[in-house]
Amino acid sequence: MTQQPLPSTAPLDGTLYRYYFVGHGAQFRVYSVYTLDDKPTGRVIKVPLDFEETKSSIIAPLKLVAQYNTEEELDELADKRTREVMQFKHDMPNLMQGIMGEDKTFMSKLGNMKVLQAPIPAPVKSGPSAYYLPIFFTQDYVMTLDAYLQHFRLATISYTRDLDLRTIKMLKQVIRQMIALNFLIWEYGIFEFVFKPENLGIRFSKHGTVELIWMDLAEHITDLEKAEKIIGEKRWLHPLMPHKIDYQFMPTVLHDYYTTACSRAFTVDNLRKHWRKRCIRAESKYARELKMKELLSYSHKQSVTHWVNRHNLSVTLYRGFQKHTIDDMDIPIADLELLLRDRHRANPPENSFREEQIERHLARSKPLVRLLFPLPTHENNRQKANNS
Amino acid sequence: MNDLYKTSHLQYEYVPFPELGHGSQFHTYDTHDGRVLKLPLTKEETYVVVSKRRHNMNPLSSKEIAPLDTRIHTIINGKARIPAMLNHSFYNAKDFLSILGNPTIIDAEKVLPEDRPGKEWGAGRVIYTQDKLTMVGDMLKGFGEQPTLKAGDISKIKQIIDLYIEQTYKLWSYGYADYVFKLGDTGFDTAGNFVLADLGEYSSDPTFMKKALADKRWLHSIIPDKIDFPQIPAQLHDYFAATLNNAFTIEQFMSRWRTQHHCSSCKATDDNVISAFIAAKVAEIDFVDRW
Repeated sequence: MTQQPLPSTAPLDGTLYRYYFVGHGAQFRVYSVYTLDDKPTGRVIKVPLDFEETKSSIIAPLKLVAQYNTEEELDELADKRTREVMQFKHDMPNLMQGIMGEDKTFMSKLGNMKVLQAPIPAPVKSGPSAYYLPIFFTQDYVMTLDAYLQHFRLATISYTRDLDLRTIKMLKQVIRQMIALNFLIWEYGIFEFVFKPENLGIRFSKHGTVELIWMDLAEHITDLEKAEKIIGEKRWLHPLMPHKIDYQFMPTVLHDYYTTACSRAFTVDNLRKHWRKRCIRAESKYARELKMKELLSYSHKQSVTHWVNRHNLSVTLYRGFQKHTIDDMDIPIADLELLLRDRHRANPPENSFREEQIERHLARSKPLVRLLFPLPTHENNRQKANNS
Repeated sequence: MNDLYKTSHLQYEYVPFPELGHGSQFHTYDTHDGRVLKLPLTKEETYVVVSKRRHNMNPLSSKEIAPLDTRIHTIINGKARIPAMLNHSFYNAKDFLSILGNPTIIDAEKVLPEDRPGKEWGAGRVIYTQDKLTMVGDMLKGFGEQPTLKAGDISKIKQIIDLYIEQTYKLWSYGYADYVFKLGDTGFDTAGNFVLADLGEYSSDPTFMKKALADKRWLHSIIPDKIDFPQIPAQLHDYFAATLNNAFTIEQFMSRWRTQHHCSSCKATDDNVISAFIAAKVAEIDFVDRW
């Protein structure tokens, strides 16, 4: 993992660790975890937002898209949306159970996410035996894909950025990996339905290769029929739409390659091809094993049990935690309480946002087609070099 | 396949206990040690669950269909009876409890907060743990999507039906009976033992049970309208109906009732007129609140 710069916000000093706030979404506040001597642990902790925090994080984008007549109506819509968003968070442990948790490659693509549930004593007024039971997650600390892509803002103007061949190759690889990450989760019967590049993280190897991971997979469904409908909506184009302010506007230089690659990849045919592929493989494998046991059983009782187990694989294979999916950082309860109390944090400022706004503005004011510059190919670059 | 993901090797203090499901009485959580934890639904939660279910059964006339409040009352009463059943002073309690997945009561008063408006458990303040099972209900739901069954599958489902009868008889012999007869609420433990899992729908009242037998509630498992009963595949409807109709008769019931009921508390009061009166009055309440 690439060493991340120390975040610029004031840290929270815990008992064993120091926590730097790095940002929040609609579900979690994220803190990078350092030792008390400011050495990075390479992990972040995701602290669940409570109802009020969630509501305040969804209200601004909701205002822009919701139809309402009065503030009360908006408030009601916000409450409903907040409950939906909070529910996604409760489904997250399902991503780490059974065969998914057992698949270390898959878990690595989820940033080695681990679950941490701890009973936190409630305030005294709730009674002496009252607890909250929030679910925290820890995960590898990686750069957000969004932050990485900021480096390619206005790259269509050669005076602002110059893309070398290696970078172009890497960017293409990034887009291919974005697609591959979606295919991977489809193979476990999971469909991420927002297609936000912000939900992905990126890490770099010593050899300069990149690896994309899912940083936030909370907004997912497991219903193929619904997934097919969403595919029809082509939501992956939202990051290219300047009016979609709930998405980071994708650097214009990527638009053409991204659109072509995604439109070719995100089809109903491909969805069906990949859907539950790994689940079916695992179910068949265990079914074969149980069938053998069933046939070789001496007693009727054992034979029936194996048969019932075989027919319940679609349920039982997706349950249970593996050791490596349970957090092992030994974060003390007092630290967790401290993190829970650290509410109402605003996202830290990012310097590159101005260029994002400029690109979005340019896309708004000019016909989109003129902005769809192709990601420079090898030939483009050679031509450019000759010209200069 | 439960044993594949058994996590008793986990040394960490707080591993999330995922919810495996819930009925109208309990939420079930996996405690990762081969057991499950059953936490009672509040009255409000029960109301939500029950109001979603349909009760358009033919055998029941509109007069017999209990209003929602009464049904909720029944469900809570069912939970309230559990501790008395599990703590009954059987000499061979171990054998009795093994039929039910070795349940153990947890002191609810220590962990459940007092009732307050909107969050009430009433008399149903019962918490227990039980062996984790592979549920027959889940298996039956899986078969619901298959148009035809293989001969091997038919034979196995028949064996399960036979095991169900065997275990039901065993329970009757201890003086307890399931009055809902939901085959889906049974399961197999890791050793392959067939277990009756749902403790909240049992009665120790023979008069009441005779009425339940006359109603043939097991047939709900072959009536697709009864969405809260996991359905038996169509190819087995005839076998299921014929076998259970034949097995669950009042005569069979009476011949087995309490034949193994050996305990330290019942005998002294068997002939007690007051006890008999109380039992009769309680049975009367059952008629009102259950049907």
